[in-house]
Amino acid sequence: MGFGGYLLRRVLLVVPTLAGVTVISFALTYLLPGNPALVKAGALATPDVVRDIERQMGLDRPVHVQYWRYVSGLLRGDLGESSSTGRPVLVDFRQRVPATLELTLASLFVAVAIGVPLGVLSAVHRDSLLDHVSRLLGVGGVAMPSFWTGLLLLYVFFYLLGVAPPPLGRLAADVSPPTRLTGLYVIDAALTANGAALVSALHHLMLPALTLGFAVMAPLTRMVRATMLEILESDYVKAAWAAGLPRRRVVYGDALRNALIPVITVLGVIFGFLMAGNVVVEMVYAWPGLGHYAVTALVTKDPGPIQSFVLFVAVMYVFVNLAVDLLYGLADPRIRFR
Amino acid sequence: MDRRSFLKISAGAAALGSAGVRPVRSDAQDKRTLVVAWDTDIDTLDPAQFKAIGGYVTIANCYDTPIAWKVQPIQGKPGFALSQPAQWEGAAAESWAMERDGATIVLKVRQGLKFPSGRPVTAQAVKYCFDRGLQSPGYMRLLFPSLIGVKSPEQFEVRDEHTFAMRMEQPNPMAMDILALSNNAIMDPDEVKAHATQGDPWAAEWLKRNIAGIGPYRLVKNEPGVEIELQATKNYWRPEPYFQRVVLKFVPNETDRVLLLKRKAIDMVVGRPGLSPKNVKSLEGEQGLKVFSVPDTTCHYLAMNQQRAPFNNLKVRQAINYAIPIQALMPSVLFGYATQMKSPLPHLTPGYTGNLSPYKHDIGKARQLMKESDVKTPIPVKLAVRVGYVTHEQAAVWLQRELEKIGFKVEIVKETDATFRQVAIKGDHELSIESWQSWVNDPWYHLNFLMHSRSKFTNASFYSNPVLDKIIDESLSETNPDRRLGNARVAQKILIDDAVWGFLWYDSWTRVMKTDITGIEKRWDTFERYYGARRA
Repeated sequence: MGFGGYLLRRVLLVVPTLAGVTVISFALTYLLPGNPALVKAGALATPDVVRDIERQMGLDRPVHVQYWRYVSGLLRGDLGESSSTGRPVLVDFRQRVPATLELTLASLFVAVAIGVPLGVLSAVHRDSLLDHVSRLLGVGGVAMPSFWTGLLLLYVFFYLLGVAPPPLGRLAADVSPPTRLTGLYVIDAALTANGAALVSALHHLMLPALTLGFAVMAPLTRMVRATMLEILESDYVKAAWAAGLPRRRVVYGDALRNALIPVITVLGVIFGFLMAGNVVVEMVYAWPGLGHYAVTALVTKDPGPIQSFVLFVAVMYVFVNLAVDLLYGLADPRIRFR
Repeated sequence: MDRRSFLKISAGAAALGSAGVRPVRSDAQDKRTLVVAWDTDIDTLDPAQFKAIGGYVTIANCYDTPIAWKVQPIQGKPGFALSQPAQWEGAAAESWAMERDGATIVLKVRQGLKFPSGRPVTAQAVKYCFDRGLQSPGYMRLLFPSLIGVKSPEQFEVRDEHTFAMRMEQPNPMAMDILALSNNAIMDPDEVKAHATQGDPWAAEWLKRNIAGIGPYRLVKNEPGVEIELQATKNYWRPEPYFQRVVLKFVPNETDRVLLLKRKAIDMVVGRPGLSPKNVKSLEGEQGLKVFSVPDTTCHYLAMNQQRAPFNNLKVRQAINYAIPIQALMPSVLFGYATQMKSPLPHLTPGYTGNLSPYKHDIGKARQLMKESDVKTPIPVKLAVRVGYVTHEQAAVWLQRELEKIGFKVEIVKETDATFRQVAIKGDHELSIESWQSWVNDPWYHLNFLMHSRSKFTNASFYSNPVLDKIIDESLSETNPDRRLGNARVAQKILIDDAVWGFLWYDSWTRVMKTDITGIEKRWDTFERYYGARRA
């Protein structure tokens, strides 16, 4: 079977996984303590009002009927309604998912752009000052909770220096959002050649992406460093040195290319960390993504948003893992699709 | 990637990053725009149904009610105004009159007032809104029948194009305050009817996301999680507000709200609480900022479930009241932005009697009462608080320490809103810290919800006393002020002697803002209206 058959089989396997995810996301909200109808009814409610709301929300029906209602809604694209915004969850998601994705991708970019070169340099200059600094940065990134790093960066760059924008969303108040193509402001602004929006979007993305990227950079740096060390000791690299090939070509050409293979796997894991880390960083920077939305939904036990958030993260995971598997196959010629 | 391309890419990224660095500019620099930070969204714009502060504040600024609470300047606090008991002013109705000794309230609808559609605001429109309130799900369907005896739409009468009358069964001193609630927003009946469906005859679904009335501001943007923008209404009956735009920014993190204030990137922080007392204290004396704080009616109390042992024991409840370290909570948790609670009634409410309570922190006396109660110690007990209620979480730790001195073994349980409410209503809390704010500043409105045995969802202590129930029922519509306030004193005496709650504190209404902001008004419902605000 070639790549096409492999791809088809993997995509088909996604279907039962997603079905399992719907069971889990439903069960989570069902089993969580708390009655969403009571929150929706407010402080002055009477028992009949709460019963009415329970009926409207279908909470008075048996579990399997509630589950079926949820799944059939999903298939129709009806994710329910949020009681904190009063809007369909799908509308909220359409507004918030691009913000979360933009932050996640930007953080991934920061982590790769800083983490990979740092890993290479640490391996090449093993046990030098640079290696120690890189280790310190890595440990710091993992050890410092991102809400703290976030607040620290805000304090220094927004409050003290005044170079970062106020934590009030994705764009400055006087800049209109670019024409919506993907919903990712940086990309949309770049595609529509909207300079003002591009600059403002990057400016606002700067600190959140740095905070989140810094938190996930460590595993990447350590992984690149370890693989690079191993590869630099391997026979073919030694042969390359012996043949008198230029240092740059050996390190960045021969060694790094092979060291990047396991990095693809790590990137999949990091993506997962980023989705989780988003919640905190979005709160710190008032970034209008899914993070705060999900937290509010959990506190009020708002079933639609919670189920949709769990589902969304699970779907992202499934597809990122699928992409990693496929990329892995493409990057490593030793892997055969069977 | 070779080193050269790596360097190129790095340099490019750095250049792009630094291109973004420029002096911070904000809305707060536009004089006629008020920029406010809070942490709430609009849950619904249906005046009968909102629960979130975002919903309330938007409705209060975008809809006129028939009458409104009147505010008066406060002595010694220039630039601020407060509502006073029994003082109202005309709004959509320019005047009112009483008939049948006050059992009928006649409203004269303001001449020339028009909805955004251009249709005039008429007595028929007022009747339609009251009919809707009484018959659609929401607050008014509960408040009208139970508090002022209005049970049928026939009690709302249109006398002519501009005259509307509400006939109650008997005169009721709460009626005017009930009419001033934002739930009675005046809507354009044609607009609402156009969006009604068979399953939703009062267009509740459409009104969730749309405004169908007129007020000093109109909602021009609602982006949940980002901002709400209000713009001043043109050709409105009130004088044009100073602030042409009000931008309410969603800032979920309190530390950000503090930094934004300190950096003057916003004009003001609002919400309940918006800023914890500790942060307010830290902003006192900050250059360019001012703190405005006035006593308010929000009650915070320790609910003791009287359906459960040992809290069905009067001596135990009294002992707990002697164990509350209020003198430590005031400076250490509330930083002075609160008043000690000495009665189940708010201290600004007519009839409040502050000298009935014998309770003060006295561990010796508390221990003695515990001994007299014949309850076996140690008593394991759970003390429930809501997650994110900072002052409650901190007070719980102080209470835990003191209660352990008198024989309790206290476990603090933090619960989310949904869980807290469910457990409370099921009667499964033993001890919990609750809060309550009565929109209507009336002793019987307050006691009816919190102390009457029929108020299943709001009587958090499950207090049940037929004598008190009878007093509440009689006093709800009592018009003789002496008897009404006299009864309030009797009720307070009963409740304090019964140690119905652990009496904690009343919050102060506190806002931190730039020094040039004036014209801030606080009404009984605690939600801001911005049309009186201005920049000095």
